[in-house]
Amino acid sequence: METDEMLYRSYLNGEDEALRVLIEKYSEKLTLFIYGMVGNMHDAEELMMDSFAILISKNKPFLGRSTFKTWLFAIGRNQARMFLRKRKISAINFDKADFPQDFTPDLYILKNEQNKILFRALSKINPMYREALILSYFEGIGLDELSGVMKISKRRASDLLYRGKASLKEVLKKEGYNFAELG
Amino acid sequence: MRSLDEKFYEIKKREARLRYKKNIKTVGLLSCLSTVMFVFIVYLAAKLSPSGFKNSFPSVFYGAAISQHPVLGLVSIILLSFLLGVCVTILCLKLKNEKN
Repeated sequence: METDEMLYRSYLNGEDEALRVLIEKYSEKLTLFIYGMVGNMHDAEELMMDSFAILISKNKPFLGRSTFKTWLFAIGRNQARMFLRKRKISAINFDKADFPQDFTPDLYILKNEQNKILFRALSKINPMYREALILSYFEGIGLDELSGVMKISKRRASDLLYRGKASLKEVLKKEGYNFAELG
Repeated sequence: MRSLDEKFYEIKKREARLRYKKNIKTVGLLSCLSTVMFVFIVYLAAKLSPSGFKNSFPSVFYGAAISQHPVLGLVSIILLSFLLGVCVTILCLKLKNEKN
């Protein structure tokens, strides 16, 4: 079984198929993460492709300081932040935007009704909490990787997760769902 | 949502565009650097020449330039050296790409 790092190195050595595997593995996850930041599926997909293009045009070997996933998601996060800065959007308000209409569950994660409820609730909390929770719940990223992607300390990452969970619980409670059941 | 193949080709296209932009930046930077270095070398040669800076600095350009006027000569030399820098850099990049 080849690791992501090995696949990336294979791609740099000229094997296009390795890139195809990486895209298949991470494109939807990264799109979902970026979607949580920018609030538009089309923009999220464009930014996902930009992130992949930036990553593979770097031509740098792994130094072992982070995993491929952390690196990719950190680039995706930077792209999304730059996009928001360029458009002068400080915070996405999914409520005022066409979030429910735009909420087409093209992504396999969102085909699950439970995940859809969670994601909709996530759109109503602080963007920093949302980023941390999406990475943690939907992408299964641990505390170490989370601090790497968000470029914050482990303590801060843990704090964000804790506060994020509390906010999410509140939102879900208001909407009549039980956090523990969705957990 | 795009299919996997569409995503793959789009990403490859964007990667090529990024690499091209990076190369253009490198060419511009190296060309500017080579121009500055060339002018500096000419200046240094003129300053170190036994006949002195005042006599030799305009004449260095005067002899080499197309124009009869020293200032225009200086401008033409700078332009020519910039072009030379661009050509050499492009050549180096092409050789590097071929090697890769």
